[in-house]
Amino acid sequence: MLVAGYVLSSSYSTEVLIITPAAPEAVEMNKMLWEEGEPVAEIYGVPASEPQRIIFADESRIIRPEEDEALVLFRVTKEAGENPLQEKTIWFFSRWAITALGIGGFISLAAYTVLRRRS
Amino acid sequence: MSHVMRTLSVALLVIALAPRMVQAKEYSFDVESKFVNITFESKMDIEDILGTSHSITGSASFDGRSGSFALSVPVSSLDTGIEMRNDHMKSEMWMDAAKAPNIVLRGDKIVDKGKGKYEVTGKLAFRGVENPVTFTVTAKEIPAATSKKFGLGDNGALRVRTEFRVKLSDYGIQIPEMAAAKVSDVWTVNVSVFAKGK
Repeated sequence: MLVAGYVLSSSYSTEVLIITPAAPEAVEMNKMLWEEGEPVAEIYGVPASEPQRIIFADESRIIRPEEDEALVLFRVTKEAGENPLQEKTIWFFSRWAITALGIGGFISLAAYTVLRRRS
Repeated sequence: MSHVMRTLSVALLVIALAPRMVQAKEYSFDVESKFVNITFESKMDIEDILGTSHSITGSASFDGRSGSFALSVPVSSLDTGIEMRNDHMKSEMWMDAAKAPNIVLRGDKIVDKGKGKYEVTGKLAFRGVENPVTFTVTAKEIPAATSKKFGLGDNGALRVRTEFRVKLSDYGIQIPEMAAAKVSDVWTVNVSVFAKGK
């Protein structure tokens, strides 16, 4: 599980700033109103509070704004039922699985030892 | 003669003060959904939950320095991208949409902080509970030519953006134990809306 989590994280995750996209008309108007020094992500929608890593990020949903090419925005439309897989969810369940496997392994080993002594 | 002088003095005073007495402009938030973008976000170790709404009604009065507003967002419009979670969210345990179908945000006092930022003191109400709130709003007036071009009417428009935190327990929501690891008590709310001039 830990290996699977590591592989997914290292090979298939991308750090993005998720945005709830604005309509094309709103983006166009925001571009007209935008001034140097103002936040860039807000031109394209409402950004999440901080960047996060997501797994299997669909490249077609990524925006690299011309106003700040270092930004990687990822459009998520909730009305379309979009819920990108978050890296932290993978790690959380990997840790749980490892803990559960560890406990299971310990119990199995203890049971095996007891049964072997009896026989 | 003194009567004439007094009248003249009053007239000069009115002329001098006239530019300062700017008339507040009225705005309506009853706009198409494409001009409304509201998000709410919970951050926890397991996952971040993000929800949206593109529905709002209300009005604002703004003179470029101060004003007031009242907004209403239907609970039924909140969408987290998972239908079952949306249904839970609207239930009695959470937003109790049957009892209070709208989230109401009121800005009673607006203080100009410069550079298009305003400190707003008002009230936020949902689930039948109302609490005082203070938050910062960024507002930008949009000229009539631009508002007309984008279908926001002929009388100019206003773009309003704000972000504030909402503590669910302040509104009587007790997160059940089984959801406590996944749902934060404190949510970040972001509002980005356009209002059309009346």
